[in-house]
Amino acid sequence: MKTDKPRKNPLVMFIHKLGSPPWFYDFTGKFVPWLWAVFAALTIWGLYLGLIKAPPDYLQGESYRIMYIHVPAAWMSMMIYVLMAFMSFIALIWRIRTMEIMAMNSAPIGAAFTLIALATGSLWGRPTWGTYWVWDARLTSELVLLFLYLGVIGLYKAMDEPRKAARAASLLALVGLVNLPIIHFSVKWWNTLHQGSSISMTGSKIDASMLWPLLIMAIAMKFYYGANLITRSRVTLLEQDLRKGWTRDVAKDAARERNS
Amino acid sequence: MNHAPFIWGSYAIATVVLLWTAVAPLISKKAAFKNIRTLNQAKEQSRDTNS
Amino acid sequence: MSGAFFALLRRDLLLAFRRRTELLFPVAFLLVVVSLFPLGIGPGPALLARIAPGVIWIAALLATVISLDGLFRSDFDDGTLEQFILSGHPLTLIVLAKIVAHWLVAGLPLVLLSPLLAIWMNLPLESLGVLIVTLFLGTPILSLIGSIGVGLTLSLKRGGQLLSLLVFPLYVPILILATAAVMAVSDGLPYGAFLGLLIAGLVTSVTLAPFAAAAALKISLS
Repeated sequence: MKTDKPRKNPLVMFIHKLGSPPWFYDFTGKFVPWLWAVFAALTIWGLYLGLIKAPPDYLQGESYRIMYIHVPAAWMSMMIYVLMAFMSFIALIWRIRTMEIMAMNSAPIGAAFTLIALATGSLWGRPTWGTYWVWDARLTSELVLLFLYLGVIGLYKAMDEPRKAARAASLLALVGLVNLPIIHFSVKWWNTLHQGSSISMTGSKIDASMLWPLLIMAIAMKFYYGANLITRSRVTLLEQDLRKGWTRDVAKDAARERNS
Repeated sequence: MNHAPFIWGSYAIATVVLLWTAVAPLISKKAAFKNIRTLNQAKEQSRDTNS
Repeated sequence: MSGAFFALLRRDLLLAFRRRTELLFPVAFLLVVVSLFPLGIGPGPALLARIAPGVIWIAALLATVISLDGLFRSDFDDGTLEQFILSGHPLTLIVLAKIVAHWLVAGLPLVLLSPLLAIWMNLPLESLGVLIVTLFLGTPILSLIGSIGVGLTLSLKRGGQLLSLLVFPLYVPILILATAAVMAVSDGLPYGAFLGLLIAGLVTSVTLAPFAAAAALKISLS
């Protein structure tokens, strides 16, 4: 039988503390507003640079500006899936409840970004190629990614017991992750096989003045994900621990703050 | 073709989706607090009547 | 250990044969679905020939998903599955045995039926051989990957509906590969690479999927 040696390593202690719901709730509550603030600032700056300052594109005119929301959304949709799978892996192996909760709460955010990528991609396609939908490699991959997200969300919601549901959905997320590169490459291949549109979304090479807003928006979306994920995870903890003492204290503090 | 409605439309959809995704947990949070309060009120009431 | 594998395989096949009429359901479904396409699209032979590989393969996907529910269902319902988990035999092997039995009963008929479907869909004769090979290689992969989905949704009431959503994205590469192979034949292009990838997919699924399915079962029955 293992005996736990007292660990003084601050990083390990920190991770250990994050596993405690009231501690997690308290700690994250402190910096969530900052995450939102950074997101807002970067978004405003990025949109200003992208929508107002950057010049129109040589090939596409003004419509290329959709790129500043479409591409970051697409990047986020994929990044969030990988993070979700990573958290799922940790949750399955170490059964850490806060990891389970954060993995599960990543799914709706990822699905939202995927939806945005699909919708904006479609609207970008209309002025560029003449149709609202093309079965090009990227859009098709995004569509399959959306189905993967919906599967994880659906499976998680379908089970009554939250921890068991989280474990099942986590396994699904991992299986999806293993398949994701295979799906990605097969769709790319399928697209070239059928000689679909081979026009890249961005057309000509990106000029620096067009690149900066893209990067800023990409980073802004990462802050959105962080802020939203933590907000959702805190609420999930409240909902799951309705009957525990720490939520009563939190509710009391919140009521006191509102009334003061 | 006028590109403006497509650009506006894209950003409008993105705004709506991101806004909804951000606001939905806040609505749940309010409901959760309400549930916690009613639960604890019931607990305190039963404690008062038992003591 | 292999004794348990073959014993379970025999048992599942025996059980399936006792309800012989139920074996016809996926076959009937396949026939109905494929015949809907000419009815819905029009009987023009050229059009049917072009969409034949895709139609037949999609019908195979649908038929597989429908038949998958029975993979663990009866054992789950009467508690046998729990006994399997507690038995100490490796669950992975048990799962593999059940998948093999399931494929023999539900997947192999699809392969055997494909010449009829090829005739219905006016598939060029030279493509038939490759079609059969893709189905022979691909339907086991469908069963293997599908078993993971079944394991995850086993304890749900409407698991079957969710199952389709879960496995169809995972089936996309197989669909693409298989139909590409068949279409390459009619276009006169080399198809060996596609078949090679299907073989690789089969080998990978056989080695990995039973583990994932076993893990899924353990979660569902926890």
